[in-house]
Amino acid sequence: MENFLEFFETTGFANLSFGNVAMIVIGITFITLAIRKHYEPLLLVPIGMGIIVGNIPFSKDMQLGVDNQGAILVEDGRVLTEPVEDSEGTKSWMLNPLVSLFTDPVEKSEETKSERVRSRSGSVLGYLYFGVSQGIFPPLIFLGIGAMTDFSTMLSNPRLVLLGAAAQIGVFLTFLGALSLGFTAERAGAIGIIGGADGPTAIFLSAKLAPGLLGAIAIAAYSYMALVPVIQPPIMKLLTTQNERKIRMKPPREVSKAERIVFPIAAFLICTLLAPGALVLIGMLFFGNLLKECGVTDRLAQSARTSMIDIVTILLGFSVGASTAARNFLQPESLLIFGLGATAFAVATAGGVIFAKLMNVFLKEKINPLVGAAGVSAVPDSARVVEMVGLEEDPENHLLMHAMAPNVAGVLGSAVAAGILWSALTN
Amino acid sequence: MDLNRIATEHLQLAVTGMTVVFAALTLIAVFIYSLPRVLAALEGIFPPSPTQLPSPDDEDERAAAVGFALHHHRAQSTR
Repeated sequence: MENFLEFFETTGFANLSFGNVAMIVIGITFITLAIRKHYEPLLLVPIGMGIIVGNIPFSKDMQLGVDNQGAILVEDGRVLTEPVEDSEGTKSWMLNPLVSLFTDPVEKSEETKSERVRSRSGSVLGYLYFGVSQGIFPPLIFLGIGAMTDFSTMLSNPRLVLLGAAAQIGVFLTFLGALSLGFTAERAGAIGIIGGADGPTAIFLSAKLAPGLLGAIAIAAYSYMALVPVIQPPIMKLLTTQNERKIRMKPPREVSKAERIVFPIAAFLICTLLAPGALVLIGMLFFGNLLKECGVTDRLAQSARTSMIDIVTILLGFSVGASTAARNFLQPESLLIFGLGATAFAVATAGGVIFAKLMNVFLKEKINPLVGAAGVSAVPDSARVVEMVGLEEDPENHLLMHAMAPNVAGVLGSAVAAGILWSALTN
Repeated sequence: MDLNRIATEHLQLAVTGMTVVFAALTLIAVFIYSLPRVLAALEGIFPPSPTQLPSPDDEDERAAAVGFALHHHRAQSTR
């Protein structure tokens, strides 16, 4: 009986908290929404299952969670430098990119002159989460996105690019809003990027600036991306008149192959010379696009946009979900993050629509202001929403192709905004 | 959080950030606008070489022709 009681104490039943149960219900809700409502199923199913897995309680000795990461400590006096502190004040030793996860404070002493290597094994979830915590998965997703993105509509109508910039107002206003609510500058920057409506960018920036908020920010970003068809239409209708929503735009011109090949290289140079912080995300995005457009690397482009992006999406979604253990996730600040995220999304949508109306004051050939809403990124969902709202007013006015231009420009805009926040807030 | 600090230091960062995003995308828009003209001018200076590698379309046509020939050959040999 005593053995049985001892065993019972190690089971999940004995350690299950109300928070764990609430999170498991949230995970099941995500999976249900994905299956029944088709809300971003490719993301919500892995995240939902990850949430369930991450909220099974276990004894601390079992080392099963995402925070049980492996480490190699080289105590030779040459490799160990100064401990690095993240925004929560956690010390970690920066050894090299593969072994920077040692989180125990270690005293440096004379003894460290001798060459000694010590290793500590981590959990499987910890190793999977490494790709999230070190910002490896988001650039790989960008590589796949680049390999599937057709920039032709943007190349055929360059003025629509500006709408992708205007929508980034959501990022910076939310950054200020988060600061005023008492978040540190780093955390406010990571929360603000939810307004970029780009999951990989949000994960990348929060891994760099606020690792402790990564789970909440990622869940908020992907939830709002799934809710684009619910959040955006009322704002779009509120800010436009019926006549504006009926504006027809000229069909896009045909873009030459040479233009499509030169564009990724030139746009990469422009973006990263202005905002070097965006180097990794923008670099991978345009590398993927070059693979697609150059015509001699079809196999690589095919792998990047199919198998590779699928594998990384599974790993990213699942490990982000698994990082939302109730003790970390169910905090009052998570609710604030969700509130600020919704505000960021709404402001970004409004920013794009209002800027399109402003452009119409100066343009002879008017833009349908609905396409401004697609500047929030969230490819291709926000472009589809523009098409849907446009068709409600005029069943023959197809705006999807036009909306794709600010939509992909929004991806660039949010990556540049993330680069700026990263550079400014880590200096 | 000190509201004065937000109003000065962080507001400055937000305005600078927004300006850089606009600058980057405006430069891209200007580049895209001028790209067809630049390419046309370059084509005048460096005309495309007459011998070009076969395009994927040519490859497809060739594969279709080989496939048809094989099918024809097998059909004849089984008669």
